[in-house]
Amino acid sequence: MTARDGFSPDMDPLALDARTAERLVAGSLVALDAPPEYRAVAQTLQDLRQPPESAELESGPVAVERITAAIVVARRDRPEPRHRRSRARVGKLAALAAAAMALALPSGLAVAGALPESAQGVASSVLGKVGISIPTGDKEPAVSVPSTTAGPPPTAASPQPQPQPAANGADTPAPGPEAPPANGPAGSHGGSGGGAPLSTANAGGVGHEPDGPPGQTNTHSHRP
Amino acid sequence: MAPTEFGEVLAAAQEGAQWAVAVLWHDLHPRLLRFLRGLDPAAAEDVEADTWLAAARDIGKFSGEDQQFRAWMFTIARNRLIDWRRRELRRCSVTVPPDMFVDHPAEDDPAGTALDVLRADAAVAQVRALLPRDQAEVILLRVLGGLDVAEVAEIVGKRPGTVRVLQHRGLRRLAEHLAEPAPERRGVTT
Repeated sequence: MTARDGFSPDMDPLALDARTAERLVAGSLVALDAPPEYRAVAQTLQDLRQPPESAELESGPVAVERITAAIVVARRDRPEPRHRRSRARVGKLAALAAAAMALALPSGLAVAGALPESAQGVASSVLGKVGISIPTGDKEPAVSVPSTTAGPPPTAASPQPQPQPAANGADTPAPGPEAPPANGPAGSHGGSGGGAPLSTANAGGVGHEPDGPPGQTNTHSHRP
Repeated sequence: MAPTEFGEVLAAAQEGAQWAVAVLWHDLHPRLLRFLRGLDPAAAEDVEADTWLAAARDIGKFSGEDQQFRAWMFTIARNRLIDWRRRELRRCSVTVPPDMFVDHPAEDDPAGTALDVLRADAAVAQVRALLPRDQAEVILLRVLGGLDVAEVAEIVGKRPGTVRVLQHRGLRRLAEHLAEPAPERRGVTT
């Protein structure tokens, strides 16, 4: 047992609990308050935290100038990859838009019955398998050459007499002036939104193209 | 530095404002330099300059508070020091002890200048001389960086428990070597 602190000799005088260790490194334990064996340690750690002396800051202006220049250069260089990236993104978007157009245009034409006969037939059969009914390609000859095809009466199997395309426009309630009264308050949105793809396609002339100019004049003249 | 104040300084520094860079430099330069001197005095100056240039390149991408910025800077400094050592190994240079230059005095008064930073430098030298590298690194990061155990663990790539053990051993070792002889304790035998 020592005379000074009363600890037995087998007790470790340098024993350090976690809290004291934490306070030492955090700087919240000044040398005078530290355990006697750790006063010098506390002082050393305190010295480490000494505020910077003038000699340490001598190189300041030059260093700061150099660092600032490096930041400016890095800033100037940084936008370039961003431009490249955005260009690449624009390219991708353009490709996607082109692909979407390539898919949507034939589909729209097929729905409107505006494809050439053979293509319309193929589209009709393909889309018919997935439950979408669109006009077959047989109508076109019927319209364009009424005298030659008018002979055989329409059968139940092929119910597409040529007047139907003209009536086709009447099936869709959307077109033009008829829509607002029929749809009521929702008509303003529904007419241009819900029914728009089909109705505008028909009213816009896509559906009339197979009919040719005479049909077009007819439908327009009948409608009002 | 207050959080809002630091945010403004950081934003300005990211824009390349010299005053903001000066604020950051004055706050961190002494700590970084002492940290690096505590690990490798020969490399400290060069590595510290490299650290700032590396930080300048990436500061635009940094987001965080004062404490995280300090941790980020010390991480860069440590990584740069590791790179520097690898380069030196490849270069096979021979480190010359300062005593070799005693007979070649400089024209200015380095001794007088050194007195200004004697206490801090002496403390750094003591830590470097008395502690193994891993213990010195942990204690310097905690004291100079003001970082907590978890942050130091992340920087040195060790578990928090290991960092605590290294810190404890380091403090104890320092105490063993630095404790003044206590005559009243050692002298009392009867």
